[in-house]
Amino acid sequence: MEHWFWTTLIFLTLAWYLIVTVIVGIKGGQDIRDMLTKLGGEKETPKKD
Amino acid sequence: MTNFNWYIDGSIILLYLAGTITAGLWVRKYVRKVDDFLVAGRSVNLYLGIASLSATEFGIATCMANAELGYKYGFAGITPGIALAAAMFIIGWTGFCIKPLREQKVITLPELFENKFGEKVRWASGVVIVLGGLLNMGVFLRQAGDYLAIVCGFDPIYLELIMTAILIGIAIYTILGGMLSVLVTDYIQFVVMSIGLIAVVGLLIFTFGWNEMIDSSERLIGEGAFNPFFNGEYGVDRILLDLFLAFASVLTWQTMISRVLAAKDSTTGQKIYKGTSPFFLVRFSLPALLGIAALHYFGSEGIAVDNEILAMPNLLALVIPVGLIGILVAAMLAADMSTNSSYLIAWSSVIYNDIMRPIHKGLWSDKKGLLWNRILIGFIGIFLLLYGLWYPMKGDLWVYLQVTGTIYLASMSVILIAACYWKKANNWGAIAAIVTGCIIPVGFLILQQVEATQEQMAAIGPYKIGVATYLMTALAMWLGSIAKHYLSK
Repeated sequence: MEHWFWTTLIFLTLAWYLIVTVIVGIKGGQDIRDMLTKLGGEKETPKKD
Repeated sequence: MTNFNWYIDGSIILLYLAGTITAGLWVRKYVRKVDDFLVAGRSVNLYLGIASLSATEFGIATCMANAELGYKYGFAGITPGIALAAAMFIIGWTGFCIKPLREQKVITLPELFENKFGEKVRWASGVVIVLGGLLNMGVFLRQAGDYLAIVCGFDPIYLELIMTAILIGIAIYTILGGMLSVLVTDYIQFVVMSIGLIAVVGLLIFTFGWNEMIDSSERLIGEGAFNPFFNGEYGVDRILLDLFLAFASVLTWQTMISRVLAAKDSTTGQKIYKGTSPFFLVRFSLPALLGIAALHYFGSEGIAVDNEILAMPNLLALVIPVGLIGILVAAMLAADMSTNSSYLIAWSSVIYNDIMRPIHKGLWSDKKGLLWNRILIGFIGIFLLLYGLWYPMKGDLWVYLQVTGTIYLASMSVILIAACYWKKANNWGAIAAIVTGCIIPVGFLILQQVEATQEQMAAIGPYKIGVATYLMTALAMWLGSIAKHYLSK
């Protein structure tokens, strides 16, 4: 194949993107739940004038 | 001419918009302090960080700019993406600058600079960051308006209305929920954007054929389509600027480092960078591929394209079928909303935290601080509308983004490296770097618009100017610091 570099680069990039979309789609939702649980549980009072 | 159907595709877009804005508004109840508003209480974990950083750094303007590179330079147009991906991986892997930055627990770069160089450098840094950032962001709305008008088949006279509607939608949830809303909506936007982008690229490769697209690039552009060093327009000076810009933006671009600063610790920040680095290849290669597909389609049909930047949206309007075009528009809206919301909060955080520092001295209550941050986001939104309508784009969009970004990237990256690793660095050097890094690109932008100097500026070109800015800024930092060092002895 004449332009193997660009072909490999593009198809590897596409494959990586597909896999990462699935992983981040699942685990990112869990991260949001954890973040909101942490922020909802914080008792620190806001700074006042 | 477009395949966009208002009932089917319009419903998909409406569903997406309703879901995103509801989620963005729902999390506003968790915002109680300025820290929650600006850095989400520093509680961002790896996968959310990757989703947010990826969604932020991919907007309609980026997509159109990179598709234009693909249309004009073929596969060589992906070169800046290779530089960015490599820079982000190396910095994430080594922790160069970002590790000490996160460990200082600052909200912005200028806050770090104050510790080493004093209050004046913090303030001046804030000013150039906001100047460069806002000029850079100023063209986003118009590009988004152009794109949507073509793909959805709007009459261009509604362009301003579309721009205003997009901005108001984004500003509502950003003003109310700050970084928390940005993160949650970024996550939804990452998923929608990725599905749409992968589906469209897959469809175009399947429809046109991979080998046929390569053949068209070779026939219409020549050998330069595959070799950036061979291309007359994409030469060594441009590649050098790509490299400087890649490292500088990964180190100092506020929307990028804000994910490191919002990470729960420096190790997570480094992992977010390493994990997101291949996305910067995606950010260039997939839009460039859309541009190459447009070149193949219009080139094969013998259709002349007047404005190269609009080739990609024109292609999508013609070849993407009903249903998928709705997902595509939702995906691009997702990309644009996440970018704009993050940029709004990034620049407002610098204005509040650094430029307004002499006024509030860090003593205002959280309630007052939150109110001011929200007011600032509103003002930035108004500026974007006015600037987006007024500024006439000249040359490549990507080059405009590079030049405006350089206004602060050159000086901030030099000062950051010096602050972290050079003991002799001082405020003289920092001020000299800020002035030098600002004057050269701003001068170029102005002279490019003045009729009497347009020819000379075109002859020098933006790439040499960009490279010279980085080199001269580093020299100014060194000379200024050494001068103070010897004169004060």
